[in-house]
Amino acid sequence: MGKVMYTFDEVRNRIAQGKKLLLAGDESLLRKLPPGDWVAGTIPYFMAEEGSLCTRDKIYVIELPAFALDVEIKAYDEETIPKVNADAPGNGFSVIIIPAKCNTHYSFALNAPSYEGFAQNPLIGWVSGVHLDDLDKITPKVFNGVTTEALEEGAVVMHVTLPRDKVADIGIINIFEQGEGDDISFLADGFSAKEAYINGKKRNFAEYVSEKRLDKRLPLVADYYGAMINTSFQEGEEPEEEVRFYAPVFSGVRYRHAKPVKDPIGRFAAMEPAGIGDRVLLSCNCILNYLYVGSGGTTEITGPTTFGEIAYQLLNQTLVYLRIIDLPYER
Amino acid sequence: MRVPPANDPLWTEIVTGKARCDFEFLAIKILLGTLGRTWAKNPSPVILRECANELREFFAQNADLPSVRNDLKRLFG
Repeated sequence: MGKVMYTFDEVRNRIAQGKKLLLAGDESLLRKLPPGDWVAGTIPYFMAEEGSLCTRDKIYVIELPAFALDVEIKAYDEETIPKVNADAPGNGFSVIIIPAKCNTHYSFALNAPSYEGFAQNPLIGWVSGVHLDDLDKITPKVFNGVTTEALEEGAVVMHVTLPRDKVADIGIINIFEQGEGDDISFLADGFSAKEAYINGKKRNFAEYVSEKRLDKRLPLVADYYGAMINTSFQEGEEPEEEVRFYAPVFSGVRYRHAKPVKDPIGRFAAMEPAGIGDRVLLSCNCILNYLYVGSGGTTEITGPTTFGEIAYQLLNQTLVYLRIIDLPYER
Repeated sequence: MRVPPANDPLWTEIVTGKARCDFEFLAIKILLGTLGRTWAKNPSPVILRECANELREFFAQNADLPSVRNDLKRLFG
């Protein structure tokens, strides 16, 4: 596992050398960086070389490999983000970073599956955040390195073109599975729900959660044709009228509360593809895994800890990663 | 690799869930999650055909990827 955390001066030098960078770190450092081919999101939590790390003094750096043919950095807003897939290169991948709790975050979360070109090209990324002590004091930000502009509303995307004998592949590691409990579905798409269908019967969802004493550290899990997709509970003040989530629930999807995981760190390790650490270009893991699992979970993969992960759409409590695969032929 | 034509009944069976496959490619699973939901909310023949066509088009555009080739073999032999 190589070095991933760098000082401000080291990052500044890399930018001056023309390196193409994906960055994560504290706003106070990112604001001072010079213009260049980089995008960034704020966060002080990382899966670093030595394990889980919280620091405001260093920046997590992903440097694109030299074989990346072309890079286009674009900023989007709530109106233009539906074009993110249409703007993707014919062969490559796109990295998106969105500030938590902005309108673009919510709009992307709800609408990404209906965007033109959804899932057609690799789209990976994360939702930027802040130190948990700074919640409601400082807003999460993303940075367009070309302009050095900091955005608290919108998204920055780096579209990367790859040579035709290489392809980007996105994977996820989700330690949660559907439990054996009730089938849960929702009346409408949204980040909150007052009512839900429990085994086909409509009832007040907050009352159901309370009655069943559902552990809110465990997400709701939907089975997308074998991919387990989480929706995490957002803790609020009791009693709640509505149950809130960190990603939207979607109507027409059958959820179950997740099974408890006895050894989450061991499960992360068991689910990591062997030798993956050396082949992953970028990865990120959910802050809820950082908080609930303790170490951030993984043993080989490093990356920023995030307020939401993106693998084609918004995910929760999941590790997402991107690898570059060599093809024995050209696409 | 040849991708079966849009009128192959397996495409609609995948969308409805009648045919299940242990797909390797994550994007297929994510896309099917959305297509399955779209059809479930409006289970008409027109919507089913649109979803099946979108799925088939996805396979056609990505048929040169190793994992998609593996998934095509799993589906169609």
